[in-house]
Amino acid sequence: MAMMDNIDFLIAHIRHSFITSDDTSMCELIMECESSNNNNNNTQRAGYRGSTGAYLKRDMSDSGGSEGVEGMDSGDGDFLSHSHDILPDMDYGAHRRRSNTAQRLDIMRKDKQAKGKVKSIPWKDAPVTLTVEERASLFEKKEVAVITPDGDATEGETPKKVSKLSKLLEDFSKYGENPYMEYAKFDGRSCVTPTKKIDIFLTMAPPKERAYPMTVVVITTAKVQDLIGLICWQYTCEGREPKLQHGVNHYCLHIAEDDGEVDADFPSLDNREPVLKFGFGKLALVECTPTIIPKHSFVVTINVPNRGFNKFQVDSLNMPMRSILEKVINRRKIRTRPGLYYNLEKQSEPGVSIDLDANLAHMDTMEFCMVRENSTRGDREEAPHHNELSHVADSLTSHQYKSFMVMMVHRLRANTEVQLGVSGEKVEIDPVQVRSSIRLIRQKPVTHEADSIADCDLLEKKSNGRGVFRLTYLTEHNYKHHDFEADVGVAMEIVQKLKNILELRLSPARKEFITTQDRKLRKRDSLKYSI
Amino acid sequence: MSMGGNATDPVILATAGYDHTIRFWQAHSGICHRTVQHNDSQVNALEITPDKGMIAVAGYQHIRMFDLNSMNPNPLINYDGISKNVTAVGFHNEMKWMYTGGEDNTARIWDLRTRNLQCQRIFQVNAPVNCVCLHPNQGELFVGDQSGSIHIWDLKTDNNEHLIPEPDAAIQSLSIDPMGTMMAAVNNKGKCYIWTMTGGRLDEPTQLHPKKKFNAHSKYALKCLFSPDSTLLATTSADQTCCIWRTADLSLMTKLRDQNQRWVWDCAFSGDSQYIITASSDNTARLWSVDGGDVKREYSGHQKAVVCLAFRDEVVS
Repeated sequence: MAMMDNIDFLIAHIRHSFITSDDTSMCELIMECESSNNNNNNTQRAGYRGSTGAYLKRDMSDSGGSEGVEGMDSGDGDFLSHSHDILPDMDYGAHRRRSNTAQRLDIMRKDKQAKGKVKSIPWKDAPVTLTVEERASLFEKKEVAVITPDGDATEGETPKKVSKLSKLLEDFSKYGENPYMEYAKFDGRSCVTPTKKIDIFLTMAPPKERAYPMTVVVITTAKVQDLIGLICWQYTCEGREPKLQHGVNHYCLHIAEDDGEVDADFPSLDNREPVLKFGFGKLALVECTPTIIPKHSFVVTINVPNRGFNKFQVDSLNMPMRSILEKVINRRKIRTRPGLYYNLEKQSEPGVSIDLDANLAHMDTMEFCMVRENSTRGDREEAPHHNELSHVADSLTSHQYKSFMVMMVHRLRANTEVQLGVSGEKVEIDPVQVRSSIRLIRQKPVTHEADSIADCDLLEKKSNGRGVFRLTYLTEHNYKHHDFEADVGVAMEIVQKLKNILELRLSPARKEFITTQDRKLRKRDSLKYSI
Repeated sequence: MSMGGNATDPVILATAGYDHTIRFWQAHSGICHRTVQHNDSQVNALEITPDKGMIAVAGYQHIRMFDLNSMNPNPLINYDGISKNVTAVGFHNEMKWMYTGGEDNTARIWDLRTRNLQCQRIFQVNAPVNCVCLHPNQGELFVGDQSGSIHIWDLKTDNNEHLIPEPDAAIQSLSIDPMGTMMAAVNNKGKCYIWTMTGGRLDEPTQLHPKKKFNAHSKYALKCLFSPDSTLLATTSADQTCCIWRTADLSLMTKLRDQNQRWVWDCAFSGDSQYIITASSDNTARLWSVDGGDVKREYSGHQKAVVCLAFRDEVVS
């Protein structure tokens, strides 16, 4: 070392070696007290300032020699005899752990020191007079080399110019693309942002290598999913074998023991959580068994007015809507001419085009409608057609048994909940038992044969979205009825179902009911006219 | 000043912008291999020294030089004493001096030689300087400013001239082709101007002859650059594209666009003019094939907009 002949430096160095290697910190106490007696603080600080001044001066003259030696020669022994790593805790009494302030001061001082090494060149406004020679040597115009284009006539055989970058790109592509490239940005090895170092045991590696983890440095803002991607990326980059076959979703991270054993008692880390949440320094990358592959695919439905719909499986919610639109257009082989564009709308919001650059995650829905620009859905024309189809389907399935939960309306007491079972043969009314309430009148389960049912009709639609319907049946010689209340949709379904059944059977009870109904109507009409 | 001339890496790519970091990339793989903190301001411009020893980083009130051949996180040299943003930086091809332009309405020459005289020269204009371009003859500086003027500063004779292609349309970028036969300028209206150049030898000043004026972009243009073989001109813009024009007839060759790409601030051609690298506000830089117009690599990792890049390539055969 160049400075071994400097006594001050040697003494300081020995001091510091004692202090830094002494765990009891007794050395520090004794030595610091001693040294602070020798130099008071002020001279120390002045020395510091003086030395930075020397740095500046040197910058201007620029010796190009070793800075350290020059610093010593300028007589700044005071400054250099103190280690930059050790601060006497003078302000806090001798025996205390270093406070935050002291640590911060330390950082500031180190910062300043680093800056001291930076050569600083300020702008000088003083005009400099240049001699003619200097001017000529500095600012003379040069001949500009003429670049001969490729395939010059005189040198017809010159090969096409290739740059280093093109060559590297070509070489690199031979190795194949790293499919996990998008996760490279979570690599913290070359970052200045906060990072976290984690040892990853690779359970897919050959048994010999399994005990040696791969160290990964991840930026702290990454999620577990990103970390898995980063591991896959680094694994592929390092050319490890066997090659990873699957996407990021096929791997998960488990807590691991120091020897690399996977701790199976705990579930794998949640992919959506930030890495920072988990404090583990050792993890294991495990291939998910098929049952626990997280279902991260989503099904998107795109309706095309009058042309049905397309369903797509989408792997990520980060997919921009534009690419979904492109998928539809490609799948349907729609020809896009310039000036003819398609937009997407949420199925629930007709007429409102969505931003195609936004991601699926921002849509809150998975059902969309594709509409040509400056055009509307016009799905009202479609609706009746659709209904007719379902109508036929309904009538075919209406004899099948189906049960509904409805409220039975009584004339004098509160409604009770019943299960209404409707099939082609009969209608069953089963009260739902309510244990807590005491009922004076116990409702009994009733069954009406389909042949005894005369009619079923919707009586009213209430404003609260409920509907009341009446089931008329024949007992002995009287027509009686039950009233039920249910959601309008359900009520209409039951009514429709029963009407279908009645239509198919056309029982004597039904016939008779219709004729009496007709007679009543006619009587009423004749009364009306007679008045 | 000792310049670490023994550069090992033949291809250097650095990007920087609003996140106060400078990232160095392996251009062919897209891997970031070094990040340097630029604490006190955003980075406005980057330039690699001709000997590939250092990179100049122009920020607010400073130009800092970082070592390219070590992992030293601190700058080696700090040029300061400027009152506002430094918007442009570049070098004499033999590293005799460095030129800068700034929002303090000046272009400056900084002496880079070590033991010799201090030579610092200043050229005052009337508006903030947006761009400075050195003629390949190393003797004339072209300075574009916010008022729409282009100044030609002959460094040896100190003569200067200026022209205004369009009043009140800030000159955003200037480029001179490597053979010194053409100059391009773009302004904040998206217009591009082309001149042919004559003269520029010995004491003869360069003469500009208007060749063509055309609408390169519908919005703010940000950068123009001739390719190393002078056959192409790239213009970048706030309309989220980079356009590549053939210099022969100024017809559009390719429009580089990506659905995620936002403002395109800066660009650089590969040594063989086959690829172009762009820097965009979507925190990403991209490598495109000029012929295919497709993205070959993405350089992602910046946390904020990338507004400048420095690239150095070599021609091997």
